[in-house]
Amino acid sequence: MNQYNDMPPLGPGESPWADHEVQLREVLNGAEETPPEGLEARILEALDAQTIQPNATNRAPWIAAAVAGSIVVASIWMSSGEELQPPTATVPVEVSAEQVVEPVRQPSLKQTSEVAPSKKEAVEQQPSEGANEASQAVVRTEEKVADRQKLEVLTGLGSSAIPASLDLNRTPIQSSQTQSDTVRLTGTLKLKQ
Amino acid sequence: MDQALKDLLERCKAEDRSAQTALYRRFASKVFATALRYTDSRDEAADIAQESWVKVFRHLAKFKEFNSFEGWVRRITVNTAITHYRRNLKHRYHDDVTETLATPLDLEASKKADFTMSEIQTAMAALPKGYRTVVQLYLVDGYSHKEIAEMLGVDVNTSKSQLSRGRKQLQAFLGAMSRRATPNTDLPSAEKK
Repeated sequence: MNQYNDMPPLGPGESPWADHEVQLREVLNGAEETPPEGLEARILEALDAQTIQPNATNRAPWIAAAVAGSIVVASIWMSSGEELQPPTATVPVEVSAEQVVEPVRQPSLKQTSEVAPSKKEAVEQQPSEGANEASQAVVRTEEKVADRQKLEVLTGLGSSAIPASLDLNRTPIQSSQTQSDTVRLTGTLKLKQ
Repeated sequence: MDQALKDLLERCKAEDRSAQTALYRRFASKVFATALRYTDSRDEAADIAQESWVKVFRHLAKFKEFNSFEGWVRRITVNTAITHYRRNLKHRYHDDVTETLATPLDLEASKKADFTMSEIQTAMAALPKGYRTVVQLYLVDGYSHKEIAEMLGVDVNTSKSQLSRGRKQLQAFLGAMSRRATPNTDLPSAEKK
């Protein structure tokens, strides 16, 4: 169908290439036309504009990365700040509140202070220790009254039957001693008739 | 590809301005002629050529040395021209196309005549824009109907029918030119046949 090897292929229903078409192809393929003056300068200007533009666009990812990085750093810094705040802010408040209102929960004070053993926290806790001593004195007084009442109930007992911790004349009641200890001891005693 | 062109391309890849100028000057007339084939004006052809050259320099790293550099540049130019064509298509698509069918006289005259560059360009310019584009893409630049259909955004059958009609019109124009140029030589004998 196609008598010319270098011509495009033709479909079944198409007429074969004519000589003038072969000539047209050759002539147009080899055609040259002098471009207008100034085209070279326009192209070079366009290239300059394109080389400047990519530099500006190349900066965009770096700026975005810097912004993202600063956000990440800021979020890490803020989250680390939140972790440090609770011990310094809440511990002293909890200690004083527990001791004044509920002296029985005093062991929880020890646990709280053991959880945060750092020097900084120890220093920050010092101002509250004065309040602790005052509250401990109140606790001692209340416990003495309670113990006296229990001793009055336990009349007839020998002095050896009274635990040393309950003997007011021998040793002062320790602040660490709890009411639950006292209750357990009274449960084991038997009255003599 | 000759060694001088290889060296020139390497320097162009390194954005050597003198090499870019040398490369442009070496192929500028061919690029502009290709651009001019797909347009009606030198101004539009200059725009297409400028855009094509910028693409050539920007994508030079993608060019494979075992291919023809001239062919690669021409493909870029044709694609750029087609982009321009499609951009302007809606303004020109409704141009009335008057069918000019080639007669047997035209066929004989076009076969025997040896046309000049100017005659071929005139005949091509006389074709309706749609026909001309398909004839050039298929006959001159060697694209398949499938490729043309994709480039122009039309059906493959539309590409085929436009080529067929374009060829007939081209024959008619060239035949008429040939008969006007040689009124008393071969043509009367062709009529007797």
